[in-house]
Amino acid sequence: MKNEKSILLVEDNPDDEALTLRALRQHNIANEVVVARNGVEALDYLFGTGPHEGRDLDDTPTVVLLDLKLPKIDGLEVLECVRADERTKRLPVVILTSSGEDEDKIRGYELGANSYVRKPVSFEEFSEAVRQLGLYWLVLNEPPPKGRGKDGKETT
Amino acid sequence: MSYAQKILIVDDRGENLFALEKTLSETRAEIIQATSGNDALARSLEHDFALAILDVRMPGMDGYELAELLRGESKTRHLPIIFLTAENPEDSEIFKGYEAGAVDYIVKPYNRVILSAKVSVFLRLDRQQQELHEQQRLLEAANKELEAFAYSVSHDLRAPLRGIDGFSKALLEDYQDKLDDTGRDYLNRVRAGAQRMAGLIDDLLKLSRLTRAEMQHQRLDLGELAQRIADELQRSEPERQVDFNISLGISAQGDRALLGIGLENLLRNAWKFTGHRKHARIELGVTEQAGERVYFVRDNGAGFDMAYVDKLFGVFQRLHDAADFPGSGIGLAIVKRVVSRHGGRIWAEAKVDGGATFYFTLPGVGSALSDNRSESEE
Repeated sequence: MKNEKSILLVEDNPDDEALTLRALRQHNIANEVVVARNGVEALDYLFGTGPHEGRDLDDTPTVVLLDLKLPKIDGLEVLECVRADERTKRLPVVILTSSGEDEDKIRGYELGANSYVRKPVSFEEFSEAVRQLGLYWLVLNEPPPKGRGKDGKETT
Repeated sequence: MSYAQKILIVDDRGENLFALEKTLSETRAEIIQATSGNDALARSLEHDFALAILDVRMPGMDGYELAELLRGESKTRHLPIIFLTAENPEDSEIFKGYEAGAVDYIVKPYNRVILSAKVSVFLRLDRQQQELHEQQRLLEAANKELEAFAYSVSHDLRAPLRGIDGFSKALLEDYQDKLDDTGRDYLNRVRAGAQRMAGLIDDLLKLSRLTRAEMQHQRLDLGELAQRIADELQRSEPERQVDFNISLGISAQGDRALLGIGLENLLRNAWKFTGHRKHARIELGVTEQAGERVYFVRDNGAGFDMAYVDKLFGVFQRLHDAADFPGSGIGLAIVKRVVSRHGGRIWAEAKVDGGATFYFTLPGVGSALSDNRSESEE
């Protein structure tokens, strides 16, 4: 049975991408992972534009793992666009970044991030962080209902 | 830094301007003449003046009106103005001049030596102010750069280390049957190096954050702060027997967050270096030296050789073997940064195996005029 819950991983560093996928695999998290390598790609995927034109937008990711420092459009700008759009404003977004700067945490939460996780350098710790994120956001957390507008009314 | 200072002289009579320019020639400033208020306003747009000397009596716009208009323009708001007036003015007229923004009032006929000397004083003030502005600008630029640098370090320098550590771990796991003990040992060393470097980067960021943090001065009790830190240290290693002797009511003036970080690093230092003592003692107190309040943290730990005291507060400097006392050598550098941000000094006395005492002062307020003070001094 296809698990409908998917992850959008927004990550420009191929090493971090490979390590994240490895950690997910090691913890038997077999959900689909869509990778966007910069902010533009992420927004194209989420809004069905550019190369993702015509994509079924009901198929939204269950959670977005968002790096902050990205080429073209950075993570905070992506978050701003996601929160500003009716279709994605409730989408769970976890900032997953190297930065431990207060400035980034404050901006991230101000813009409506659901969580902020700093990527540890040690792979054991990183892998454990990925496991917990997968468990929490794919299993424990109840995502917002799909296809509902701001009044909770059906939009389709 | 060299630039020509300019003086604006305004008088409706050519012979007065001529005489004045001659008087001012010794100051070596560039003299710009204007023969009316309007003329002066036009000149003030073209030039940056260090000083203006205005004749009071002029047809049309008089000196006071001109001064008021100059005050109203942002470019000339702080331009010092000297009024020149003929005969004996009434007191009320002199007051009017000062109200219009005069810094001085000189009655004609003036003494050339005195006028020239006064003008030189204002030129010197102007030069110092320009230099101060320039330094402030450089400082702000340096701070911005530091901030951008720290931000980039935080984002970019850790990522490659995660790759080094992560793929080493992947090799250890996925190719374990192809690796012998030596191969595994090498990979573990690679990983340890990457993780150590990540720790060092975090330490450097901590240090730079201290430099950038905004401070809020308030009166606080160092003893109370220290007691809380001591309790935490005790909880972290409950098996250790350490006598804390912390006087309460050690009042100090400073930023609570920063002083907390400083004290924690000092006490943690004492805690670490008394690690081999059966009966460890750590003391926080205050004393007076040459009329100055001097705070101190004393321990009966491993101490150090005073020959190396100059290195004590350097970043990543260590005076002990890592095997005996592990650490990165950032703690005391952090303490020093905290103390210097309060305008204070820090120094230490110690004997090998005879304990160490760290002294510091916190003059605080005077050194940080731009910082807010939430309480006034008692």
